[in-house]
Amino acid sequence: MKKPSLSPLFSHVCKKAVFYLVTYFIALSLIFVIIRLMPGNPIEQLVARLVAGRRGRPVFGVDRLYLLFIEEFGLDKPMHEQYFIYMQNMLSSTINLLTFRICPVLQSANFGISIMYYPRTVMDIMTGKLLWSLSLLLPSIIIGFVVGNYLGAIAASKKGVMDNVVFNISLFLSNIPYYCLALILLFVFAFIWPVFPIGGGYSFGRAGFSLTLDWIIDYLYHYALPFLSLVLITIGGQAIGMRVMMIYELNSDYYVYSKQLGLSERKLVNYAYQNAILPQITGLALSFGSIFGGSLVTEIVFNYPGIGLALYNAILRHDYPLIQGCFALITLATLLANFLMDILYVFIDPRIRVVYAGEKA
Amino acid sequence: MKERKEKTVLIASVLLAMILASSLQPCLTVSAQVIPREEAFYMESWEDPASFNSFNPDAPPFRPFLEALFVLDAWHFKIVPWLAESYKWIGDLTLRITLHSDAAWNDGESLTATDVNYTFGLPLRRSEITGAVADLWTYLDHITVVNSTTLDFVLNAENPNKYILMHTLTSVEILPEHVWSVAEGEYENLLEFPNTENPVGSGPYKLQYASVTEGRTIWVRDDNYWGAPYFGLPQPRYIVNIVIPSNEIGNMMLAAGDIDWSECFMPAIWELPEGRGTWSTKEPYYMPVPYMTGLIYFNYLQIAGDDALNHPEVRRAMAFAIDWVNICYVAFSRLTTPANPSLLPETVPELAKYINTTAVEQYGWAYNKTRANEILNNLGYPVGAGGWRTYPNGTKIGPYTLLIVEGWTDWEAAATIVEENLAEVGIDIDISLVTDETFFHAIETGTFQVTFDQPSTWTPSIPWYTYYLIYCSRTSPAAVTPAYGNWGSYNNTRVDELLDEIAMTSPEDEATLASLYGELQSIILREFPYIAGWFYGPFYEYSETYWTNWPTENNPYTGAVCYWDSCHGYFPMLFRLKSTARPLLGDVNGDGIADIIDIATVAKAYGSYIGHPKYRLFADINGDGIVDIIDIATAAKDYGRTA
Repeated sequence: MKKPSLSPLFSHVCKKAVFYLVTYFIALSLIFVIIRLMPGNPIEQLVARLVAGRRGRPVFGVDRLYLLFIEEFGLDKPMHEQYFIYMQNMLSSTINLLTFRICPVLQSANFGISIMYYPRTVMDIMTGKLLWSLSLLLPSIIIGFVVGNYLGAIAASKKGVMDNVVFNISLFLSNIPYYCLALILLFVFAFIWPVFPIGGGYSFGRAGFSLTLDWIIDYLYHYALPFLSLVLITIGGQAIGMRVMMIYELNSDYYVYSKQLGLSERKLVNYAYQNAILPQITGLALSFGSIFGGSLVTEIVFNYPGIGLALYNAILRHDYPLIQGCFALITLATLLANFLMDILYVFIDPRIRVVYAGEKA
Repeated sequence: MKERKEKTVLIASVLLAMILASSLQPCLTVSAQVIPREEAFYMESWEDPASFNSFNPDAPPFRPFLEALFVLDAWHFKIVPWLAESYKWIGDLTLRITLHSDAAWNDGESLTATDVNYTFGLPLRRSEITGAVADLWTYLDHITVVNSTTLDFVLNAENPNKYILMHTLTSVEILPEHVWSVAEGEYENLLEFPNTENPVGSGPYKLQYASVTEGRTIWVRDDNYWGAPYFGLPQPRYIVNIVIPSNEIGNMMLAAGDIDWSECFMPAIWELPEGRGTWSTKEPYYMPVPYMTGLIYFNYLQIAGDDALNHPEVRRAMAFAIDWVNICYVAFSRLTTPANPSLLPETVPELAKYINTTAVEQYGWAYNKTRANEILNNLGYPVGAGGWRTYPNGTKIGPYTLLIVEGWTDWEAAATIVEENLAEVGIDIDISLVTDETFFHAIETGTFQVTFDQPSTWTPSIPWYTYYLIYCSRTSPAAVTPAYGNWGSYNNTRVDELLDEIAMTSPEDEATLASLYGELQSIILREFPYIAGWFYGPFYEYSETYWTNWPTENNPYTGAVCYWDSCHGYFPMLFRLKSTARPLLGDVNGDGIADIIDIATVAKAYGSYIGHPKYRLFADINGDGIVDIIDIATAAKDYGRTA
């Protein structure tokens, strides 16, 4: 077997990287345009929000605040200048985020100041909330993906009772509205039969993190219900998709032919599985973008910290800097996931390996 | 095959590492402490702790590390001295304030008159400081620091408004000059100073932990609190603020005992389970002192000339056509009562004495559809096609757009009832649902036709302030942008004059006040610019799982039962709660035993009342505002018992 030569793989990665960079650039420009097409003047909305924060106690001198914020958010400059400042801020902030904020030159690149969380920066708000979202969503999606696909493949290949059971349960899980499932779980396991807490990322009576067994158990105890709700939904969807893909593979010519040649059932199913999983992986990469928005219901129902609720409120409250930051982050996550999948494909799909890595099948 | 297995193992271990790494990532801040639940007071909050800067209107309003000069007890209509020991008018225009000489900041520095002077003087130097403290300077001439504990507020001779002054003194938090003057140097825009790192204040609590990410704030009691000799110490050792995403979650947490104190709108409050409660067990359940007055506003910048709505009698017909009791019962879930036409509640004697009963009888209303139809027929607006009223020339009246905030479910329900009731007498109303921002923008700039609003009247200056906010032309969009009260730009010079006259009249001169208020009411009832709809008490629910002795109708030791608009009015409540772990009423100083010291403490304050220099909150055990024999008897009854 010839060792994969570096250059075709390297050029493949480079090409993809450039492609995704250009996509990110275009996406950022689109965000700039879309935000400015939204109805309403963001600063008027901010001032209205500030006044609304103190309903009943009139806020005098708001006109002075208005001018102050117009200047502070740079909205008094011409459009092309605003665009330039915006792109510069977004790109440097992205690099700052990707380098885990260690680069001293980029310390001030922070996606701007949030309106809702004034005077905190969008970077501060996002990184804190993002960690909570990722630590809940990544494990649940990956475990849901692995288990769901496994169940779907088994159901399709074993047929009979197994198929019936897995198919029907998965169909139920993938079609029940997520908020219903979440509410039912919360109601049954936290209210009627209180084995799990009603909400929070960890006990409300704890001031922050401590690296103790006690704290980790407390964290997992609060983690269980939101995790379970997400895993169940993912398993349902993945199992249904995998089952269909497997049935298609099990009826394909190569499978029927090889079976008649007398190849072992186990080996054959393994081949079919490897073919069937490819579209599922593509789907997984695409779904990374939606997980941030998708976590909104989890956060509301389980009162769990995360970025979904912040984005939702940012849109309602016209917090333009935070919306921009979240959109950029979601785009970035989707593009990064796809980029990683593109590289991963070289290893998992022999056809691509042949083309780009120069390996013989 | 072997190679593939290796790859599988590699991919699996990378995935596993990702899972593990991401699970451990929330571990950002390092501090470990589990607060004992029975020593902590859990409450809901709506604002993330992004800033504790008093001038940032978006900062969480619950800031127990700061104090104002006075707190307002809206139930007894009393201004309770807090940082200030006493106040006295030493001339027509000069209010002399004496501070507690031992008042101190939680970093050990002493709190003096210069700090007070500094706080009130900030808006003169920094244009970004707005709000009540800035507005005060319209009425204030200067402040003189007499000595370290005494200072004089001297009102502007042309516009000496005592109501605005007292209103402001109960709502402005006093800030430490030695901290804020440093911040002034650091921040070009002082609103950017977050004040979240060990914020210095004089209040009974210190900030222990605040996380925007998790939406929680933990306060710990300052056992060296300067006010301990005067007020005792607040009972809960910790206060935990939990940001909740919705009323439903807040109500569920209260029912489960996960929070002790809540300000969520709670439908069907009469179904509260055992051990949960609110101010009263009778309708309207919330305190009858109007915390907010709900009105229907008409915008005279848009409704003018021959428009039917520009006619006071048409608006009066609408008031007759609307079933207010139904609105209070169905839309507001029995938490409100129909408003008295004078805007003053007849159930509260301190306010009811100013009701102009003649005017109310002559111009008042109650649900009466026949009467509404009669008025409209007499005005010459016949019923035309489709049952809608028309002008004499046959053109249809309306439709009028009623602006309502989407998601404010009580308002949505009330608007539907208004729409149906008015349709029955032939007036066409279109409900327009908008976001809260659009709504605030529309009312502040006067770009709506008809709308609801519930201005807060939670201030020591009622009823003057209520009338000022709603009817004074100087608070209207026609006069100022953004406006702050008279959304419909009602303009009557005599009303403005009367408001100014009342503001300059001494609060003791009740006869003059009654006649001025009387004239004011007869004008606004005759001209009828807005329809007074309902009185809303302060939102308040509590749980007795961990804390008892909550202020209620039967135990009204304070009226400030919410934190949203009461500034620090809720302080007395924190000092008077009793832990279910230590339910001894006679343990006045909270040392766990009811002994002779407790009785002596009550005896020392014997005969004092709210505002009296000897009055101590903790000595007034039954909270009736007077330390009398009942308090001593209560302390004696528990004598010798331990918690």
